[in-house]
Amino acid sequence: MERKIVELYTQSGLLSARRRLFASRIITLLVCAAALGICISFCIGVDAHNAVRRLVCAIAVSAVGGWTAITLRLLLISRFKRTAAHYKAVLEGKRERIEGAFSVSDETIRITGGVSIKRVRVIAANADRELSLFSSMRPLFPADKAAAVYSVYDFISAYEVERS
Amino acid sequence: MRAIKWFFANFHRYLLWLLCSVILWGFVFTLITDAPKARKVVIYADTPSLMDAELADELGKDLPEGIRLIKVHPFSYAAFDTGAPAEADIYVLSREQAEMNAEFLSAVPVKDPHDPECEGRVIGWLIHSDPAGYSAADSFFGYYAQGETVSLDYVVCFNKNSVHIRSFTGTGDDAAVEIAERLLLLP
Repeated sequence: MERKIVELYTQSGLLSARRRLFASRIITLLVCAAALGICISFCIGVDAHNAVRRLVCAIAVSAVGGWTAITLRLLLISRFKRTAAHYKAVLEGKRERIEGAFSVSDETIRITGGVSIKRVRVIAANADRELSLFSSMRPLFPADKAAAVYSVYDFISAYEVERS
Repeated sequence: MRAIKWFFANFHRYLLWLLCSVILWGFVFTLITDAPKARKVVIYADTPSLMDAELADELGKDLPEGIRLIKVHPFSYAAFDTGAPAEADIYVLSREQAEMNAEFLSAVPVKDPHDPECEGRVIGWLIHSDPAGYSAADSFFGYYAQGETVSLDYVVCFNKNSVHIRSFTGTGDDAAVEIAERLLLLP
């Protein structure tokens, strides 16, 4: 029976990850610029009478703006950066074809400084082994239907299914 | 639970940024609101309590010609910059403190027979004295320590290096003298 290859990683996926990274960087930059702009506006026309009140306002705006930027950096930018780097590495890496039966664990493993993954157990004719699946790809990978997978650096990058 | 763990793992970043904001904007505002030495009069007071902002506001209502800013500080303000009081123009000191630091103070003409003298020269004008029954600017200077009913004598002195005491040194302007005279008339 004929098989078809379903790619999990594509150039458009990489482009989309890079777009998200760019957008999150722009949003962070805008937040910082807005906070800085407001703080500078507090400095205009300041005198001995309103200095303390304006200083408190400037510190508050600067702190909140900075905290927002830090949160965006930690939650969005670093995540999108890791995703884009992961896509690039998988797309440029050398592929290895593995046949067998596959089962995906429910548990998500968060690698510090890396992407979150799910472990995939491969029951093959020669030897059993474990592969990794980028957790965002889990809904796209039907483990029970896959007849073979292609792995790059032990990450599943594509799979083969029987053409119906 | 994961959000709380995440927050505490990154708490130091938020705290550090708050600290940076306070230091950065404090520095910027000090830079903006400050004036050059020639255009400001700085008062340091060593009284038990001081309404510094209110006094600066009161004196700032009618600034001497050429003066843009009047700053009033307690001596504790100079805790992190011990050299700062040496740059002040006017000091409000206890009589003992004035006599101890006479070498840094300008000689002034006598206004009151109780004015402090040191080595034959008058070094300040009396602003508060219990024995003499005289007190000025009570609403801005707290001359009595908490729980005390008797206070030290306090005098208004001038830094001998001030550029705002022309009447005594012959150079600069008379802004500090003008302000000191107004201090003595404040309620």
